[in-house]
Amino acid sequence: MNILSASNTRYVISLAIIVIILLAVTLPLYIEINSLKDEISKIHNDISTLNANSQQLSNSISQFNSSIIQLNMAYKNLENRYNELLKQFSSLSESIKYPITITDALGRSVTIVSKPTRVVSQAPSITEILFAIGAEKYIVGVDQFSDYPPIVKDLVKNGTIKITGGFSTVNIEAIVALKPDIVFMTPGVQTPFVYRLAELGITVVALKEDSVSDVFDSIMLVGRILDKVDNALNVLSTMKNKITYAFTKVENYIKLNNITRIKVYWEVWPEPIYTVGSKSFINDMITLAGGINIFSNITSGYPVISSEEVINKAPDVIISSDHGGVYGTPQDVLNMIRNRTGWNTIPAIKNNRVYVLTGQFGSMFIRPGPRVADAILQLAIIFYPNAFNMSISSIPNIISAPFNVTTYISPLIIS
Amino acid sequence: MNVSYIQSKYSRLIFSVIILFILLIIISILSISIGSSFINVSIAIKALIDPSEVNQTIKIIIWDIRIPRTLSGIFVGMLMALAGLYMQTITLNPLADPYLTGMASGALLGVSIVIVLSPIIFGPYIITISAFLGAITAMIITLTIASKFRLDPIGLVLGGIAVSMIFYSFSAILQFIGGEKMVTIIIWSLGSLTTASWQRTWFVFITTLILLPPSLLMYKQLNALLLGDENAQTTGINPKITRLISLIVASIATAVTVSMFGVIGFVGLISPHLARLTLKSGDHLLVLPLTCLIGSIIILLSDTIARIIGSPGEFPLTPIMSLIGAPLLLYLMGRRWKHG
Repeated sequence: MNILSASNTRYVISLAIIVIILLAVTLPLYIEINSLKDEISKIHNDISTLNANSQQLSNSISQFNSSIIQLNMAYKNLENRYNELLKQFSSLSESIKYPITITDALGRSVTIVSKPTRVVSQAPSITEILFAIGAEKYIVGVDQFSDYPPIVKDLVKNGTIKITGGFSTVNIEAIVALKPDIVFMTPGVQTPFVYRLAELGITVVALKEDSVSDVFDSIMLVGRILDKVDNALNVLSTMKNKITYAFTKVENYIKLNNITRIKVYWEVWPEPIYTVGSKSFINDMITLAGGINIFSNITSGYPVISSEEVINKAPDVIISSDHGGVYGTPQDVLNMIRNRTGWNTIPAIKNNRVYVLTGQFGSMFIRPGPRVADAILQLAIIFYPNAFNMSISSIPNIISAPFNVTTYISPLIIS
Repeated sequence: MNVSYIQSKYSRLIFSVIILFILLIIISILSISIGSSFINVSIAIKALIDPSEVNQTIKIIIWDIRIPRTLSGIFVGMLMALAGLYMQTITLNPLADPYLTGMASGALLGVSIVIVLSPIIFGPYIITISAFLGAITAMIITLTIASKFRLDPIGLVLGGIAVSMIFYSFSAILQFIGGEKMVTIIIWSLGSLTTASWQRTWFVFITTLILLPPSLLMYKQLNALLLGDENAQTTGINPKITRLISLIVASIATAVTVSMFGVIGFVGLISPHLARLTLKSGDHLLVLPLTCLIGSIIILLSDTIARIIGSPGEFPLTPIMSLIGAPLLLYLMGRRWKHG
């Protein structure tokens, strides 16, 4: 009996301790949940405005059926955004008065106390933005994939710029060691690192990158933060001119010849097959270049789809990247796409309109940076070569250099 | 069981604990001074003793990044090893690990739901909370199923497998729908101490502080479980209640860890075995402290290596841990066979 009662006491003690444990675990959790309440209600508001917006959008879309009007809309939206930004920033005084408070892509409110002079860029597209607006001398750290403009690699080699990790493997210690005034990152995979760096007292800004107008916004935001508003406006105007040029050419060509817009299938990755949905800037680029993304009905950014679905949608043009050599040479990638079972019925394959974008040229199509305008122009040429006084047969299947259109427009010069 | 045998058992424990403790301290100091930006050990120690003497950046790197990370590693190792030991004792199964009740799949589903279905904006705590809720939900379902079978080991193991499968399937479907968001989920599921902040360190520290003492207090009951239910009852111990309490302790340890640092596997499975092989005993009073110590060492060592070889980025924790731990286990097994 003694033994029994002794172990019973132990059970009671153990149970009491369990209760304390439960309290200790649930109490901080409760506090965390409370702090989240505000955020959730904010998200609720966002969702309801989003719902209202999408309702409006679907109504207006149902009114227009002709494909040319859709193209017009995509362009008009971008133009409106551009004009808005122009109005907003042209009225700004000569130089920025710090401190400034901005809202970033994650909805965080960030205050920049003084003009940043030590900048870390954690994505290749952001590095390109920094160079384009003439803020390259502020860069102290970049991610390991930043390679454009090519001088970045030299600067890394001679130690002027340090590497601060990859894209999904951000090296927090390396960033802290650089003592940056500001770190630019992307939402998505990098989100946990944004919060962790902010916790360590580092100013972090996540930049939007889901559409071409997001790219416009991000360029202006970076320009404002680094007191390079004028340069950013110049970049934007050059970009807008290029897009307008491409759009006008394509629009006239479609109207004149009374043809329908071509259907485009964009392959991001072959196994499993990833393509682009409507929530990607690539979808925007395709639309602005006059094409129709066959998977624009999918609302996520980069969905996985089945091979059959591509056959069903019968695209006129197929575009793929070289996948960084994982699937062999660009020629191998081309053959892989051409030889897929059942794909020989697809118009793009029958008419020899499969294109692999490779090298430094290919990188402009996957980075939501200043080169999206060049990418749109190049895509317009690939989609409608006739509109630019070229023939379909003059477009090679493996494209490694831009088509020359400098006679019409000055290229975006990155010093 | 004569006196000299008991003495040798305890002296072996004390000897191992002292050796491993010294090892733990050495690895801790190494893990504080080794990282992407290498800090001289003497400077690291100086920063530890008197932070005002070193410059601000080194102070932040050491005090706000590496020390929380090292401490988190120590406590996470203890919690996971403890949970693993409990699960193995409860189920009398040497292959049991802390995720036996489907908590890894549950947490994975929680995280998948949040990442895939929510709008892109999520706060710093939402992943932690969803993982915790997912893990606890899976555990409660498994427990409910197992309680229909009087909580016996087979009911627990099979119930856990079923629940785990179901949760895993749902999260796999969600990952597939999520497209590129899959990467975020997979990286999370491999476990990492990158997210260790002081707040999280306090969290795992307090959990360890609460869970360890009652665990040591329960060593007799746990030992009795090893004898099987009938024999346990003859020693005056209720196996069902003991199992329930142990299960809850293990589950809390696992849920807290998994929600903070992702699915950290392997350490829970291997630490108890390493401790038993070292002590040549199954007595929980001896095995438990050593298991915790070994767990800490494995996590800390793996995390340091993951940081070094993953540079400039960082490798996930679980694969590195398996690569270090599995050969160690084979070595100890080989020694045991050799000596009979």
